[in-house]
Amino acid sequence: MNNNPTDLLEYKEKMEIKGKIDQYYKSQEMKNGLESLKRIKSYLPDTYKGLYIMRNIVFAHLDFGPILELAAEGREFTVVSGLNPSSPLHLGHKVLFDILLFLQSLGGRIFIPITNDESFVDGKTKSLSESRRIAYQEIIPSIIAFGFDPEKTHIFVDSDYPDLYNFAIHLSNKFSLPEVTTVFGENSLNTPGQIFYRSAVQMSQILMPQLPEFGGPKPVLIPVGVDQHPYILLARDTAKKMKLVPSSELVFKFLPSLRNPENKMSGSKPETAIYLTDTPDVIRHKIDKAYTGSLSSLTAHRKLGAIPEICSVFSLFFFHHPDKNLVSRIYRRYKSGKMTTSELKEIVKEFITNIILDHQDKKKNITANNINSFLLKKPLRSFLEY
Amino acid sequence: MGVTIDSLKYYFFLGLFQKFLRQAGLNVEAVINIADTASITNREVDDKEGLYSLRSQRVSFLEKIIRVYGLDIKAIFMSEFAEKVEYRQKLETVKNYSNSKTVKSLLEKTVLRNRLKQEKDSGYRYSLEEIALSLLFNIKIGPPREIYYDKAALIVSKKSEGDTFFGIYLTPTYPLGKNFAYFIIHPDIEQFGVTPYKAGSNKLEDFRIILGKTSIGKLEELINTSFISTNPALPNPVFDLYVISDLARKLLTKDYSLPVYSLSLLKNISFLKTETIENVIKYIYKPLSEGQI
Repeated sequence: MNNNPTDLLEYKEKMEIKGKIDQYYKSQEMKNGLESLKRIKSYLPDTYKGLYIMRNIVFAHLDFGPILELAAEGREFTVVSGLNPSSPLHLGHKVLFDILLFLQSLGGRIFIPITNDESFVDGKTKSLSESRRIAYQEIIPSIIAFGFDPEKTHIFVDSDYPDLYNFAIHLSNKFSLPEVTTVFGENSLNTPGQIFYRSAVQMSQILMPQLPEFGGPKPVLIPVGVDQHPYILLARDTAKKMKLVPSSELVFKFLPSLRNPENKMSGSKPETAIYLTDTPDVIRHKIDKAYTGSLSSLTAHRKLGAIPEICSVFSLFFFHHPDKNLVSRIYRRYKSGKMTTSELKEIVKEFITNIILDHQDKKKNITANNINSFLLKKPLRSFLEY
Repeated sequence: MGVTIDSLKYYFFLGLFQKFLRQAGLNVEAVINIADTASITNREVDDKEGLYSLRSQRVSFLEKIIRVYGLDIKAIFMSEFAEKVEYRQKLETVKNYSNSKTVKSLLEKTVLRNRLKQEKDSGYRYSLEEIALSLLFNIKIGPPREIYYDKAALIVSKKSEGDTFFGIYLTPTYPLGKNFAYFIIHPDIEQFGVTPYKAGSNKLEDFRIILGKTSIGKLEELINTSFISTNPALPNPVFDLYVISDLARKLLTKDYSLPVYSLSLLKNISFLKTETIENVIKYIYKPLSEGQI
């Protein structure tokens, strides 16, 4: 039986989307001078790969070697990863926090700036107080619920850690406005607050662990989405000017939007994201409405198969399920057309609902004392002394 | 500083290969060239007396190796070879045919980056001498980096209508007692390894076996803490040592067939480590300490 031209056209269009996504990551790697993880992966023992390196979700790096050297010698290394508290955490954030947990298991000491100043200067919250409330009531308990070690995790809300701003002032003469504009683009530098935050405050978050208060210069790893790479370049330049160690970088792929596999899941667009606060009904509804990698006609799906790489539903499974054999089996069955989209959705709904309910249970038990044990309170004075 | 165990790889392979070719009916003369002039003429080396002492140390060591393992090879010093008319004529030919861009770019690749300026200033003297010497032989055995000399030598040989020759490259030698991360952050060592005849190459003397110096306890420690991958494409310092000790075994037992190793050896890491420790002690440490078989 010949293939229906409409089906073939739909299949071709979906394959083109897959090609565009592949090309996007390849071009980002080349354009930004990032190094592929391929060579490093060939050396890494399985315990160092974790789910995200194994599945190529973490796909590129800069200077990851010195971090691995510390880890392999059983020595501590430092990781910084910030978060903008303008909405509850979603599954895209979970990818980042799972990477941080994995790095902590290898010996990472983790600094997590909660950038409520960024939320405010970007107009994502109406006031600093609102972004503080979200940070303390929603974001920090949610982060702690992932299972971080309080001895090796330091969380701070920018506006409650004013020493950071002193350090930002200290750094602010290390780069010029044109440099900052080149890195961040004019469109995100509309107000004095945005200019100060994007350049000096953001750099101070990245470089702070190299202050004498935290043991002095050392390799610091920053896991970022590929769109954040320019910030790291500015941080590396700034580090060199300050005789600090240029930041190391691990770059990961986005968890795709539920509606469009070419975009990332975004907290400010609820229809694209599954929040860690969503109820089972909402989760089921969002997955039902998600973009998939299969063709409209069931007959065509059975015949031509699906394209899991562009399927937002399969991505939820691929980015989060720890069982590689199960993920491979479902990938093969879905790709071959043996598994229908409805069957895939049911599996993913159950899996995602379970991990979110589990997270919500853990979050319920987080107390003010728990939060307090994670908050960074160390004064930053070294650059003020005379 | 002493003689590294990995320099044995070249002596053993040369000796075994010669015996193998002789068994096949070819009359082969095997020669080890001791490149003494390169070190002695190196302006950055102040301790010339030390070098002469190292030279005689190497010769007496080589004589012992030849005696213990029954090798039919002879050593020649580059300084002595350089006096021969045949060599001087070849060097002139090489100089005359080495001006092409291709040859120059190959010569550049033979030099470590930090030595490039020095070599350029000297008109690639060391490289040209190496090529001239190579072209006086039919087969040359060396580390992988020498492929660039040999490519340049083949171009010169073709242009000057000389004889062709073949290069055989032994696997690089890697430091022992290093974890996987070391190789990740040292891609240069991954590609070319450490210089076989220089124990202090890359300041890694504590991570190599120096004959007569490294104790059995240290040998075990170095092997047991070494990076080993089951991937044959990656550096494997322990397998390299296993091969050296196996070449020693073959020579001592007069088995002159060329060695073949199964990839399955790499899959059982603990077996490979134990076997290597036992074989190095049995076929290298003991015979050399006794000075005889």
